[in-house]
Amino acid sequence: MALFKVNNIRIAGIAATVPKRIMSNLNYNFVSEEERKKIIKLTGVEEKRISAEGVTASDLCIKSAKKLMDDLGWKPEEIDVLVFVSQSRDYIIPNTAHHIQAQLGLPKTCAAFDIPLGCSGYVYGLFAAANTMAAGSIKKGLFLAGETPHFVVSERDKASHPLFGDAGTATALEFSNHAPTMYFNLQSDGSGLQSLYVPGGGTRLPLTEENSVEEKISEGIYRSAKHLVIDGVKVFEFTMREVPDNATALLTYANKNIDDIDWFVMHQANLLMMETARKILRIPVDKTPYSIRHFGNTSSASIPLTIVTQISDNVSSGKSNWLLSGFGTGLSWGSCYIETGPVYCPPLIEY
Amino acid sequence: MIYSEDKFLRRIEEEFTEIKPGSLTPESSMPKIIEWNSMNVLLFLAFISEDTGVRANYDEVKQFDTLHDLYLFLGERVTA
Repeated sequence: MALFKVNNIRIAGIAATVPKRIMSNLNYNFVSEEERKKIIKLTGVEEKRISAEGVTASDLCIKSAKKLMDDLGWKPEEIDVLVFVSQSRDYIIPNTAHHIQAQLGLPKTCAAFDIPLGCSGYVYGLFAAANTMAAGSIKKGLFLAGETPHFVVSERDKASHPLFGDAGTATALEFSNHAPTMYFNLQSDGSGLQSLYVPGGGTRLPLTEENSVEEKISEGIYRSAKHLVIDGVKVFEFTMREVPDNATALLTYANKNIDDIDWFVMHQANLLMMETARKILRIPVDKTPYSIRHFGNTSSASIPLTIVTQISDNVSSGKSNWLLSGFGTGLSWGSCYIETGPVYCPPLIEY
Repeated sequence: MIYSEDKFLRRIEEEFTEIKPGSLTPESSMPKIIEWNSMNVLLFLAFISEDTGVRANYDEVKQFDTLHDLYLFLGERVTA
């Protein structure tokens, strides 16, 4: 099993940026009013943020990173690693992390790389960044997670369009001999690839004039090969089957139990899925913050966005124990248990 | 099951407001009563998980023609 411990790394701060533009699902006129109400009830998404034309996930992450660096007093030349988790990359080649490294004025001695993961990306990315730093030669690192899913979602797909929003986040990581151990449990199952994927645009199915035309898939669902496919039932079954067991195995590995957790922060997939997973794990609702109502599913950004918008006062003021759980496309999922000191969280940034 | 078959039917009626209260019988079939689209399937699977603790999948649920058969299946899974 992919169970890991990472020592000597602490989370110094988390910042999140969302676009100013609000898109309300109450105005999603592609479906009837009755269906709109049912979609909002099931997903929990009343509104989400959609970035202005020309604004990318990296732009949102850069805003977050600059604010965090300024407020923490971190100088660019102190940062030796930058990890960017996103499927909304600026370019096919090269990695977006290099563009971000230049925009933030980080030195050429900084290692920078992308991890193109989706909804599990915050947990995976946190592991990758923290583990890179754990040997001790790197003292400060930035881990950015952001997504602009509207680029791959069909406006005429009632299963996906109401669900997704844009956001970009930054997490500041610091080497500290006093930091408690972080615990991770990472998993994957590529046999479920087609339950949540974009079929076209890669090398396996290049986009053509023919497959770029939207077709009716079913009532209320029109897509082309460049659009995200969601098999909601399969994804729900996957979440119910795997996410609680993954978290339970992690807690056993860390020798912790549910009562040790102050905050259970899940990837904001959709409300029905999250509530089902929470109830299976028997974690109280007041320990389980949700941001999905106002921001939708923002993929890898959703865990840090939830921390910043829902529990920042609590986590900024003292110690707390977090169980984080990310799950989604791949299929890919993972959880981590972290005991944090005060984590600085500036107010949500709008851009 | 944690409750009786009658309670099971009434709970389904509570969860799916488009179903007339008191109308479900053990011989009822969900796909014949409400639109059996992915949204309602998700809500039904979530309802089963919450009320019975059984993490059933759609392939398992759809093999039963009646709610009575499904109730028996869930009862076996609970006691398994």
